[in-house]
Amino acid sequence: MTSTPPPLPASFSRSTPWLETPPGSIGEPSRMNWSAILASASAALALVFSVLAWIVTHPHKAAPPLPSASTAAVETPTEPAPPPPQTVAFSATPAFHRSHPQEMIAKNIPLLEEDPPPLPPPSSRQPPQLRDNDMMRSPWQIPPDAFVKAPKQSAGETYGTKVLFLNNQTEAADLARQQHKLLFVMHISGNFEDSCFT
Amino acid sequence: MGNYLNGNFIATYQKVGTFTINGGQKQGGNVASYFCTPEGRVLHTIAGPVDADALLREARWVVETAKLAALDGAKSELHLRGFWRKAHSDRLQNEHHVDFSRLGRLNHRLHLNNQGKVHLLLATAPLPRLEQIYKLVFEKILNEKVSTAPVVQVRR
Repeated sequence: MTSTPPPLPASFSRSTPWLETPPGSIGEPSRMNWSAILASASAALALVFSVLAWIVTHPHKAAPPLPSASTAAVETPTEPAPPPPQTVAFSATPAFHRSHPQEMIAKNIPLLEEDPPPLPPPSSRQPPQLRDNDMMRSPWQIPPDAFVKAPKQSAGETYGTKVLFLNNQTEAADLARQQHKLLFVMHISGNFEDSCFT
Repeated sequence: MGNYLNGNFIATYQKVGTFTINGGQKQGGNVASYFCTPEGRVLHTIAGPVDADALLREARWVVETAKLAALDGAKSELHLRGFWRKAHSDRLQNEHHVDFSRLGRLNHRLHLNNQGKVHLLLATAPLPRLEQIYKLVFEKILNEKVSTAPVVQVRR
């Protein structure tokens, strides 16, 4: 059951002229500013394309949340229609190439002028080696045994002879004990490394 | 020689002295070679520079004598010392004609070369620690001063 409301008094309609609607306006579709809507939609599409281009150029980065076209259209002001962004699509998001840590380390290592000394004969003890993945891990993910003090073994040199000399007597004694060999110690005057000073 | 030393020894070196270069000429300086156990007990010493054949001969004597000591069952330090005392006194007798057992009754001064002095030293005190005898070898046998000074170059 519906009941029709009672008609308003004539004095009320005279006192509120702003409430009156123009004749013929009720029931007609409201006029829409299609040019503004098209401009905002194109701006949203351009934004989507720029985000997609950024994702393609940065595959390792996490993709930011994509703004939906409807939300962008709602948030875009409707009064001034912005110019269609032809060149804004890629220049608005500058690509920031962050160099890889291994590249930075490799670029900063000074070039050696001399060849490295030959390695001593292999021993049974092998120091723990960092795996390749350890470079990519954060420090709290590197296993603790990677930082355990590795038994350093000095590199031996022949110094122009056929005998391999270790430059550390303690390490030589340890190696002799491990390999069940005797120890050969030369006490010299001068610098054994330099033939002019020996 | 190199292969034999690398196969039976771990070699190392230590600067204990210095010398002077005066007008391009070396003045002073010497070398002493020690064959030791890994624990630093001196089995044999070569005082002064020698050629490759002499070094190889002495190295072989040390290795073979050490093998013989192991075969002899010289496990205790006292037994091992007695074995190496006899080895050095035998070489002192054979190569330098000095009877170590009658050494206390000699009434004349011995005239031994450096290697004879080494055998006499190691027969008297066999298996010493390297730090106990290196000054004696370098200063009393080789007549050099143990020094940490760098090599001095004198320009004329």
